[in-house]
Amino acid sequence: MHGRLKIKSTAQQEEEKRKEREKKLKLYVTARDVCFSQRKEGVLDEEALQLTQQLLSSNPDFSTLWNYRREILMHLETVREEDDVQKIYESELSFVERCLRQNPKSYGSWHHRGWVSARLPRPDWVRELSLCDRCLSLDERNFHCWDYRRVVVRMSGVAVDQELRFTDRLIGSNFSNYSSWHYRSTLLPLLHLESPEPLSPTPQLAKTSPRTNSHRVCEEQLLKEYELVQNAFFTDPNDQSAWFYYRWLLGRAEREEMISCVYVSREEERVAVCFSKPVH
Amino acid sequence: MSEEGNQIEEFEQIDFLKDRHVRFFQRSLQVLPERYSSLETTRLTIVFFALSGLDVLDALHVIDKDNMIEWIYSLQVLPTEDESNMQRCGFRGSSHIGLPYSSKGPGMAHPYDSGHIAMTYTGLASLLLLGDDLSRVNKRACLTGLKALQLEDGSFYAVPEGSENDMRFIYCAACICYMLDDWSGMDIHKAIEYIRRSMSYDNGIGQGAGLESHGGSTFCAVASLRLMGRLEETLSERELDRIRRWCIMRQQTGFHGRPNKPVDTCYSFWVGATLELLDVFQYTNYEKNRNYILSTQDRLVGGFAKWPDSHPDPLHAYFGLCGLSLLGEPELMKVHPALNVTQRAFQHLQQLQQAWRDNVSSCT
Repeated sequence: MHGRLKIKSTAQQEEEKRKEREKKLKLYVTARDVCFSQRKEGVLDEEALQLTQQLLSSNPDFSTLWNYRREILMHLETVREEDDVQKIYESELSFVERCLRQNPKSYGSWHHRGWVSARLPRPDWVRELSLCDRCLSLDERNFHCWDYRRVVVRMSGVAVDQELRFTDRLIGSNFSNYSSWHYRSTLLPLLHLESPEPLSPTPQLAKTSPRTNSHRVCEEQLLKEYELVQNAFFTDPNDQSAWFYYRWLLGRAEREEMISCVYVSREEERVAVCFSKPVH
Repeated sequence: MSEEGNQIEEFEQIDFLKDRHVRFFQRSLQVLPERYSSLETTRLTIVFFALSGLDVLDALHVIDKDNMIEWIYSLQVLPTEDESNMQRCGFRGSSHIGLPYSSKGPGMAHPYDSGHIAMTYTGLASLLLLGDDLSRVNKRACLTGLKALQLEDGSFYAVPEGSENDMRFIYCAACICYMLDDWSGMDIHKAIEYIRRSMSYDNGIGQGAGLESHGGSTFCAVASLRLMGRLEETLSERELDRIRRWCIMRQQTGFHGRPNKPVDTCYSFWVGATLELLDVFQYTNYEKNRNYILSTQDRLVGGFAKWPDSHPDPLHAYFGLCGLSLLGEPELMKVHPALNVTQRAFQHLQQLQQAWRDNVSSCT
């Protein structure tokens, strides 16, 4: 450890430490083996949940155990009443929250929470959003939390407007707001869903469905957005976020409807006119 | 006079302490501090950092390679007699499941024993850099196990029972296929689609569609495309320029992974290697980058940390070295920027693959 001196310990102290380690190891191995033998016997109940809880609290990325829990929960869904299942899943959410408090960046824990939220008979989306709010107030750049928030918003149908206002608040209060600008870039194009323009790649490029960030944004919203982002980079010209966002905005305007080309053929007595976008 | 003295002091402050780092990795291979216990299930990745780190330091002679190779093979999840577990094959992270030690087949049936994509990747890479010929790797099983992990959207799970899925595991898959010289382990087209969908408004690349651009996922995407041999085919020159621009703006002194975040030693590799793959690393500021990485060097125990005055760990120690290697640090071996092993290990792989091809053609 940086700066900490190594202290030589006596033989007796070494022996005590060894005994303690052995004890800990025995507890861990017992718990693990009981888990696996129970699973082998097809035991899928609350006691098994208890056991995996112990292990997961200190090892939140032991994915095998999260999977075992999911098996148990899915089994309980088939043999319990809906109210019971609701309670079981709610206490599952409390457990995951405890894990997240210890390690807010554990892929396993966030993934499990997403899974639970999707299966809960009566999900409480307000509670989930509030968890995200709290988590983001501690670390506005925690992308696990942002990703989970996006999932919650999608599953619960929160209005795009509401989320835009949420990002307004964050952007207004904190310079470290790149994640908020990013979120805005995904929300803005959803405000006025138009049929997406196809990308114009060179023929050999992989054909792909356009991403929403290549969609157009209506002029009214765009002008508001320009003002917002200009305020941001006037306030702090050295902050990259506003500049990246601005660059992206500059390409969002709807293309003018105009004539791209005209072809006249006297022999065929024909005029062909090509427009920049479909004419209604 | 005193100015000269100061300059000498400054030089001492930022010199590279090679021997300390060798000892740091040696210790990491013996016993890890208790706070690493939560990483037990991914222990093989830590071993990879230490082994590849020693390789970059040209110091692999300090360990017992044969012993290490045996241990890594003991982590291979092999097919059982009836091959009923083929879709779960690969490498494990450690012995935590509790199966008896065995570095030979056939596999032992266990309800929860399966490979993990990152362990398969680091297991193969570790064997390679140790000079092993991969002859004891059950390639068919590894590739079957890998294929079973790919989702409809082109991304991968880490384990067959399911997990999160994102760009990290596409990179692991690409490395596995590349090393085994067999792309039947993944649907390249779908993976490329996923990568394209993950490009963000700012031209960085996120972990998935609609997700925030990140130096780590950008590396995973670009390196995967390079390994697949599809980089220039998938991204137009304009798009490549935009990615170059986003990446090059990650340099502050060292590099950070996302705008407005503090710089962190490991991004000197993640972003540095990406820039190298895109032919523009030469335009970065070498001095500032080097000074930052060395400011995170632990002068007492060796290794590097993400930030100055912080505890070093094997991950940052390894990527700190890789970052320095990209800068041409004299005592370090060159690193292959896409495969993330030394060029020497990469050449060994090329020779192996040539031998495999020769074998095939001599049999037909």
